[in-house]
Amino acid sequence: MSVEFLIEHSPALAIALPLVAAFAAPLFGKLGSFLRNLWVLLMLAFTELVVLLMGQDVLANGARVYALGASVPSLTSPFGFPIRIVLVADAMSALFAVTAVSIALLAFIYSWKYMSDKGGVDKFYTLLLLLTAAMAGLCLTGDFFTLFVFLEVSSIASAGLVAYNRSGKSLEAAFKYTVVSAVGALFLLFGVGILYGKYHLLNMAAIAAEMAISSSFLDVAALSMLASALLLKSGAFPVHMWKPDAYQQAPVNVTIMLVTTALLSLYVLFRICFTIFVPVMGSTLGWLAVVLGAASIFVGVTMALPQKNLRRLIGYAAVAEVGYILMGVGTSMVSISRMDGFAVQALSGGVFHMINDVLDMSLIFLVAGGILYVTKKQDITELSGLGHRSGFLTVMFAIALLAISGMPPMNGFASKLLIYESVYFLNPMLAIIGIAGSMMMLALFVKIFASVFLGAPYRGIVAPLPLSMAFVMCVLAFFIIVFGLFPNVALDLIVTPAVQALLGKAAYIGGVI
Amino acid sequence: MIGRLFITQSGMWNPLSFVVAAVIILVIVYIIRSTGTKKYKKGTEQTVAFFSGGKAPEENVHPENLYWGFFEAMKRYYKWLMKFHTGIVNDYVYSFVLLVVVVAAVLLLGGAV
Repeated sequence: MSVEFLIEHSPALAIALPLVAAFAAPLFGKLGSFLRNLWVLLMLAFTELVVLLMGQDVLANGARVYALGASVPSLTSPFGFPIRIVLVADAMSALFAVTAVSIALLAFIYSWKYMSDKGGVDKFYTLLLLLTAAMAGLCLTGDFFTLFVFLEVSSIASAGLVAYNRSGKSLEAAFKYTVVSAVGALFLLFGVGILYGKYHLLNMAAIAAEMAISSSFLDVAALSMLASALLLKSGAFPVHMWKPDAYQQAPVNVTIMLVTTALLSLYVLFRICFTIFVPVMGSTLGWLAVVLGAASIFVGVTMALPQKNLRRLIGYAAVAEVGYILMGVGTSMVSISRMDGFAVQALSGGVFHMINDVLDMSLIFLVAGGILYVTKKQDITELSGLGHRSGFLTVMFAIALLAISGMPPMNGFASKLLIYESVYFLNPMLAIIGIAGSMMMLALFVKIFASVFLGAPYRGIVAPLPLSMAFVMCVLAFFIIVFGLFPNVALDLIVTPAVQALLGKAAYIGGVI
Repeated sequence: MIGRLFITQSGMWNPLSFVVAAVIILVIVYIIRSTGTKKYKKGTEQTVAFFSGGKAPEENVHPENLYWGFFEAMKRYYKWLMKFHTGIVNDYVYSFVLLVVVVAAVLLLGGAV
């Protein structure tokens, strides 16, 4: 198997490898837990290699289009219009595919010891790998029906993982997640149905080409349903309530996958808005995104403040973080017709913040998981003085809290600076809300830091933190610091090409048709 | 590379300046700390935590009520907010239906087509 073969088939392999690994994991589980873990690790590492090669290829050679089942993978339109399932890897989709698979790999390494004394691990890894395949599919899909399928796979796998602990509360959270996801998926399918009814097409590029010629009320109706469903999956205000429920009850290694899935929903929303619905959305959808973003920030942080459960509290903080992304990308949508320097900067800030949010939220959730692992407690009123007993967790928490609060020189500051500055030129009041949200976020996490880590030494039993869990936290902290100290490198290497790909509607359509 | 300016549309910042500032602050903190004294007697009142002049509780003084004043001032807002967060899944779906209506209304009334 040559590198050229891997690159040529990378879009399909990124989905197929975790899918095969998922169904084989229980079989390896019959042979022993070590062999099963080794199998999952190797397959995820191989998938990571494939998506990294794909990313390198699209950065060097431009977008790669892959038609499943075609004699030549790039042959998407043998009869003049696209048929078959089409996957599209450009700088934007590849960036999020790399992010999703990397988080899955880190979640697995963290799980190695974290899950070692728990039951049903075979099924857990099957669902984890299914979710990985669905996330890769969401990033790479080029047609609406496959998008719906991957969204459903991700919802079902996520619900199963949220219910993993099988306690009353985790089952309740999984039930709520299932209901909310099913309703969202129904509306998404309805939106796809409207588009299919009008255009007799499911391929995104082909619909974009048709909509540019003739747009109508039906397109607006479809956009309303698709955007609402994707906002629901992302956990933005006012459809954010499922988020703290699920994040609190799911194991932390699952929660970081849920955080990534929520951000991938935003990626899909931005992809369809910038590529397909430009003729019908005008600046109104942008304004709506900005207003919902501001509301998400305010409601997220104010709801997080009174929480006593650490993971529920972080869940509400995650709602606020989605608000920053919506605010940044919404600002660029408002200026979609002219796309001046500030609009591009807003989009860059939004995309950069998506990557930073995955890193920051993942680290803080994994530290929360570490606290639970070493103390068996997660209520902040029962914890204090842990800093005397676990310096490592203290340092990791400090890095995460500074990053989430947008404090320099962490990565969160770099992306939030771009967002604040762009939003200010749209409306200074919005920038004030954003900055106030960050200050409240800092106040919130300082309270947790003081509650959990400061004070007289913790008197309870503190178990040693496994090396695999510490390693994953170190990797995330490394990227948080590097992206904070070298924001230019992150922007030049990954964010700017992704933004250009998102704005390159003509190139996307031309590449597929 | 660390000294490279991060240029935005109307400004810039330099991560190096923050790293240097952090190092200077840490040095100052270390100097202040090193001027402290270890001449205290263990097991006496000198080692008891200061708790507003009163007797400190046996457990740690907990910062969970740090923002009591904020919650008191925002009581009405929180009352409304808590009413909105019932935890009942039916309400989650109502919120979603509301969102669909709002998105559709904004797009249509905003004259998108």
